[in-house]
Amino acid sequence: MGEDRRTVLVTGGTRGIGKGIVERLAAHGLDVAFSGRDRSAGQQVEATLVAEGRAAQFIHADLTETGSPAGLVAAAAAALGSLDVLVHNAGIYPEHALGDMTLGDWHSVLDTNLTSAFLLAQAAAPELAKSAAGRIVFISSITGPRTGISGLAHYCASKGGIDGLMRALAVELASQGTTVNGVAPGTILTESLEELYAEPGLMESVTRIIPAGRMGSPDDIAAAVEFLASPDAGFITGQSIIVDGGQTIPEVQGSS
Amino acid sequence: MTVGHLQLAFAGGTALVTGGRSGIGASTVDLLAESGLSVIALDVSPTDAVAPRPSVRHAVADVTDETAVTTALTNLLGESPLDYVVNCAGIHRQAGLESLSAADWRQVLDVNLVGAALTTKAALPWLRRSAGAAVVNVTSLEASRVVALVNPEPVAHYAASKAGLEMLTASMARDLGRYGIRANSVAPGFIQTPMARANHAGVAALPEQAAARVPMGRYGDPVEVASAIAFLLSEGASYITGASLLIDGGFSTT
Repeated sequence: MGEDRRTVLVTGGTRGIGKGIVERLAAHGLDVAFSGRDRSAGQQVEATLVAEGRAAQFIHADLTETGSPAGLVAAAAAALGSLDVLVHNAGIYPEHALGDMTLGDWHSVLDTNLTSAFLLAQAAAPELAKSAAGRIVFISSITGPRTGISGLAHYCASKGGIDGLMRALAVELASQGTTVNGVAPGTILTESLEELYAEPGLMESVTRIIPAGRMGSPDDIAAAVEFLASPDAGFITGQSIIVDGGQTIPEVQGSS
Repeated sequence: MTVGHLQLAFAGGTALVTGGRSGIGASTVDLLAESGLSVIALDVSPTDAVAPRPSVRHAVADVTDETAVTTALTNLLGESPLDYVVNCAGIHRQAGLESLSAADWRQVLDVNLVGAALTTKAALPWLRRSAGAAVVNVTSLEASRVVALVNPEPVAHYAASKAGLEMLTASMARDLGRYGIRANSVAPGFIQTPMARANHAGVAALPEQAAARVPMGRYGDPVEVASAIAFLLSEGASYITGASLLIDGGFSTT
């Protein structure tokens, strides 16, 4: 493949952080395929980007369905003609107190956030091996790997698992020239966060504990993904970049 | 610029790079100049003859001498702002504790750790005139891991200085955050630099043995560290502060 073309699959690209990643990479000239469960949202994102002259195509997929991750990678590679970059962003974060959490709740989060990461990487590895600069970027979180949040035990475990998977695959895929890294977002202002923080004053109180003085934007995460996905980051593997405006620096005034 | 390469958003601006004469510092000077910044390459010794470039100015000052750094910045910048500082000046010495003199210990700590703090302090009046200033400290894989592989003799003073620089970075993120200044670090692993070659202390087989232990199977190029520094300084990293990024080809994960 030529130096002038680079192909990427982004999962969970129809809203929030994933949509921000799709938009930035497409705006910077990458050929982007992106997946999501919401067909109409996906088609709308695709239509908007195509109208702007971007190379972006939506592929409908629910990663928790049997065979879906491998099918998605095959469909993306066929549609793009190659695959240089896999960005796994799709994830869910329902709240369940430990006492109320069913095995079904646990599996639902682990399947969507973590098991799909393994299955996507497994399917993508042979495609990425053909690239001059194959890249996997997992969207992890500060929640789990660095901090804990009550009611999100399943989510925290899944994101801790993502980081372990990332480090193991970094070692395993190094010989084929594929780097595997993560981006760990802090509090990012997305549609679903706005719903989550609907209570008056809550948004302001969270912002107060962030040294940067603001919540992050999906584009803040997208910029870090873009860097790790670039050929310029070829000696970085097995690492996670925290993008949190300093939120996890311990003992910052006002933090809990 | 080819598709997929980092598209750095430097709309002008000025960067100070210490240790800018060789290795990672010199690569960083080159990359930042190519990315559209005006660069001050500061080093303790005069620069060898290099092709003059209008976007790179050289300054001679010892990073442990706050007054000398202030004087250099006053002469070169006047009242103009400084947008970025890259603390790359560093020295590496090998010595077991038994043979480590107090003078050696202090020299390594002074240059690698105190130098970064004093240089940043000296630069602060100029950084505060910038709308989006950022600092990157160049630490080391050896800040978080004892690496006997490439050091025939122990390096307690070097490792301690770099571990200190990691904590200095996190503290700077808090301290300088009040002025909107971000602070992050990059931690290089095995990189092809004159310093790395000196470390090998004439053990010819060492680079090959070390490369075989890196999952990527090779040493990094200085420009691969410079790229990460440039990213962390850029507008795209405007929500990243207090972070540390290892650039080691996967070595620390093994």
